Amino acid sequence: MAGERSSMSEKLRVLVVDDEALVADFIADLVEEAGHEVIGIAATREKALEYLERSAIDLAILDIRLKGRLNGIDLAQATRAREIPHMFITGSGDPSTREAAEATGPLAILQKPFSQERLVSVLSQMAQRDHSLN
Amino acid sequence: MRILFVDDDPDTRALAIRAVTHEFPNATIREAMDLTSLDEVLQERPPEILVTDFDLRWTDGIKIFDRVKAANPLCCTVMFTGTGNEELAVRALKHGFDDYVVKGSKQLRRLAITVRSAYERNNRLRELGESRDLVLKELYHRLHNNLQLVISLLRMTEKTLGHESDRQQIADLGRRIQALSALQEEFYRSEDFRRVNFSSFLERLARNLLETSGGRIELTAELNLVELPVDLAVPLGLIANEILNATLKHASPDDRPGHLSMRLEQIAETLILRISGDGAGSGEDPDTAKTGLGMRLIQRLATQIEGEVSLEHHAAGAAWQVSVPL
Repeated sequence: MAGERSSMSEKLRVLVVDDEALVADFIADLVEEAGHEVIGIAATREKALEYLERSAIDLAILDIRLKGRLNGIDLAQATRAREIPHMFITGSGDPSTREAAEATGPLAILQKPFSQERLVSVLSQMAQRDHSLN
Repeated sequence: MRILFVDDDPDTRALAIRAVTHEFPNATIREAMDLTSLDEVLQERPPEILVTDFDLRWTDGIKIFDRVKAANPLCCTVMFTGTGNEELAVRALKHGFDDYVVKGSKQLRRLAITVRSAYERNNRLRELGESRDLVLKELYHRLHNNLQLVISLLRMTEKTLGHESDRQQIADLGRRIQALSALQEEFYRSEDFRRVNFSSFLERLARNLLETSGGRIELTAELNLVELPVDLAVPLGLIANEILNATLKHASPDDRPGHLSMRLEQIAETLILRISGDGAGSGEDPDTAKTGLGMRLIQRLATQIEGEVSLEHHAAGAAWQVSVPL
């Protein structure tokens, strides 16, 4: 269940949360091309929480603002409570939002439009770390 | 409402307090007669309005202003002084005082009205500033989200293309948009929107692009802080992006380690940007360089900023130099 890592494999089970459908698909594509599995794509906080409850997830990739609200920060706290690492991909450059995001202890905060290579590099660092842990 | 009065003469203080509290009946009044009582007030709760004399036995009104503003930058400040002359008034206003009233028996009513209107003006300005910040944040967020959407659309297009060279063109376009976005971020950070820290932008751009090399390429950056106006930063930023991409594309062939170096400096009235790569074959192939889109963009943008671009190929790689008059 949530929080348990996939063993014997460096393939990550990833949840993508972004309310912009095309951007969510783009992130999901990059995750899959990097050899990982997309468990689900959620556009709202509620949908994302459902996935967190139901599925085994190794990494949550979160947008900060969902439908105009800073729900990504709430979600980050929910993922932390379940010991699931998270990272942010956000269009917000506001220093106070960034501070709040950093306080949740993310693996990385990528600024939109993000560098694909940077996302792939965060994924591979995490996969290697998980692999060595297993 | 907290109002602080600073004046050595207790009678003047009492009269000023009476006049001003007529305008602000619920205000908490504090008085400072020396440095200790001033510091006590500031440490306890800084005032929202300051009324101070200029000539004080223990300091002067300008220094009081600095101390109060350090404790509460939003404090409304009015100088109320007997040493009234135009020079002092100009000095006080230039230093940042919201207004200035010369002491006199008939001036107390004027002081009260001046404090009231300065306070209201200050509040209006603050509200305007806050709503401007809000609009700015929203615009920034929208712009970056839309740029992300453009890149996502490009990626979808790229996946429908059969030829590697076509896909490469789309990927290059994505990188150009990313470079513009990095510039945009620097503008936002500068809080000026007319000038940008170009060194910070270059470093960010190079590090983003180097991610593609998987750590095989080492970066040396010697960037002397140069702030550039927007109309120069955008074209020069795009030129730097093209050069870095061209250099990185050909650096580090066969997975051998490569090296990229960037140097930015201002010599007299000229800005000089040097970028070189030491991987074999680094830089664009000279035959295609003249006709490639990257080179055409570099040349066209260089004309726009009246700059000169030179490229030297040598055995170890290639060295670019861009000179721009400032």
